[in-house]
Amino acid sequence: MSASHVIDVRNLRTHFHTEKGRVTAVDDVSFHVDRNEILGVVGESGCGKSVTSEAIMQLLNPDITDFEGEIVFGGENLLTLGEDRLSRIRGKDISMIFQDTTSSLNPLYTVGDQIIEALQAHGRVSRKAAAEAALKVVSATGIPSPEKRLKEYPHELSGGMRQRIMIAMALVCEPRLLIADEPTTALDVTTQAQILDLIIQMKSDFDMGVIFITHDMGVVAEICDRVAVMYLGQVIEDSTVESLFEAPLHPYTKGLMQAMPTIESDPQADLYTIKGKVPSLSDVPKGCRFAARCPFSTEKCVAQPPTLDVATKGHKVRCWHWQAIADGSACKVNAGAEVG
Amino acid sequence: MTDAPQFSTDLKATKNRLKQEQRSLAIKRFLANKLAVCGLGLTVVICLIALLGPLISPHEPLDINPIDRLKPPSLEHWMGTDNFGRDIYVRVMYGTRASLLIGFSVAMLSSVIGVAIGLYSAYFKPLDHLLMRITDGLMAFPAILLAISVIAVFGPTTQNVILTLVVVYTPLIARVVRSNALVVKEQPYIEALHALGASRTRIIWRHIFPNTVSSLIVQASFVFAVSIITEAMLSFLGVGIPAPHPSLGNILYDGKNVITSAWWMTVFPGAMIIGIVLGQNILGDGLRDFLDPHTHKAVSKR
Repeated sequence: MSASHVIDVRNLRTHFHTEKGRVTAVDDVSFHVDRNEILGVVGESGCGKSVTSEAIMQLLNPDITDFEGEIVFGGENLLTLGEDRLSRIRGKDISMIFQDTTSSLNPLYTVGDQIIEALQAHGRVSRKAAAEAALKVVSATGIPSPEKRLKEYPHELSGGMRQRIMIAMALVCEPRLLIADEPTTALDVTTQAQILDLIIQMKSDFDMGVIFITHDMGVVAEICDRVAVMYLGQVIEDSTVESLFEAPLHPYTKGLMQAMPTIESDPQADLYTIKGKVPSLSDVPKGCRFAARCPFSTEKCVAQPPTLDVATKGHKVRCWHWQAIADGSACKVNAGAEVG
Repeated sequence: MTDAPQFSTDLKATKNRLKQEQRSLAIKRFLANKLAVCGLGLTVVICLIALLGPLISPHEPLDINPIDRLKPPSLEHWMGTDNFGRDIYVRVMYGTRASLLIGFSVAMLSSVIGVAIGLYSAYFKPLDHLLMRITDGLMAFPAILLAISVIAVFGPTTQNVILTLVVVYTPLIARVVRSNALVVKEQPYIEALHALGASRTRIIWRHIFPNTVSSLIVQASFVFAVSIITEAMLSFLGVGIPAPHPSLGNILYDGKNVITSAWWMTVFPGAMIIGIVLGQNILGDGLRDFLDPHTHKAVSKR
């Protein structure tokens, strides 16, 4: 739509060819990220959030993957670009940080060498200039005595420090979009808070868009501007973070919120769970994908897939009955399933 | 404030000391590995003998002296003489030189080619099918037979022997490198490098290759040993190093007819082959234990 979007994903579909036939891991996903904005992508394992990010980076094996739709970045559709052009965009304009810091750095080189390499992969930079840039960006991540750290090998650093190095590596070319794939999942809570602060600060320093993939609602509330909730390959709710936490519209999002214990919860009571389990991707329901587990599902839900409708300004939801549920006029037809 | 530079020099000294300690630890670990030390010792001794041995004997490897035919070991001829009266000691020394040269060249050349084949076939799927079927074919074919036919066509020269052995033993290296590279290729840091926009050449040579080096060294040392044996076999069959030039296989061949009357013509070159190959094999085993701490040692400690 407008030119201010850093990236615009439109009706993205990703199909894998597997032994069991064609599996659609991402089905009709659309979202956009603006400059200086963090979009949270939330969902449980296997809902397609990582596949979406790998589709943006075009890191999936092209032999077994088909794409439909568009990923518009800087006026170009990433899905149609050749490998040469893509490798110039990767790392320079779009960077990525990963969850597993232990294995995401090559154990054979010092971290300084690896940051310098990230720079030298994009254009001829003298080693000295690259080393200076590396030192600058590592200092910006707040690592104590950065000169010393640059000469160390990945195994000599702690998980939090390695994640800072990964962030420095991703940011050294000053990208316009950063994709963070569960960057804090492997870290303890204190370090997590520091890394989150760092990402927020870097976002505004570099004026870049961030796609933050996580399954932690608490993290989302803390750092994101907007949120896309995914379920089984689809975006089911897309909203500003305030609107989502104030009034979640989709029954699945409501379930997620209820499942989070709060400080007022009764410690004796069982935690809330969403009953049932996620259907297999090779056997996707015909109607609403959440219908079998939804306490409000009706015949219409089972028969017809709902569309992603605008509920209020900046809040979209994929549910036939969101209005009724919000009013409280929908009855829990499927209440039996919830109890047992 | 005067403490600051003092502190930093202290830090530097400590760092240097730590580095030295680390180095001496690595040496200690190598020395504790008895296999590697024995193998390395044997290999070094044989190399020195081959290099310096001929210098202390007055004889030349091609000097014929019909009067002194088939003489047993004596002070004049330390390992006796052969059926043309040539000094066996000098011939064994030169033969060892030739064997070591061939072993080294074959190990180097087949490593270079094997690494390239292994890395690229691990990285590019379509290439993998093509290259690995070719390697399968080469490995299914008996090495000696292939070598004999190639040399029969192109003529028996040292160069041709080396090239043939490279063709025969490159698949061994390529396989090992490929299987290692396939594992490394799936590591998250390789995906991270893709995400950084690193080129394929950079990923293959700077990041995947160093991770395959340890098993490459081990495999190359075995290729070294095996190609020395094969060269001796080829020479014995008359398709190796051409006749008047000394090679361990040639000497064995000459000694075959007189094995009952002149044992020295068979025993000394045979012992030399055993020495070289044993040294290389033990070194290879030791290096594997040294470089890859995950493999279990062949003998458990008691």
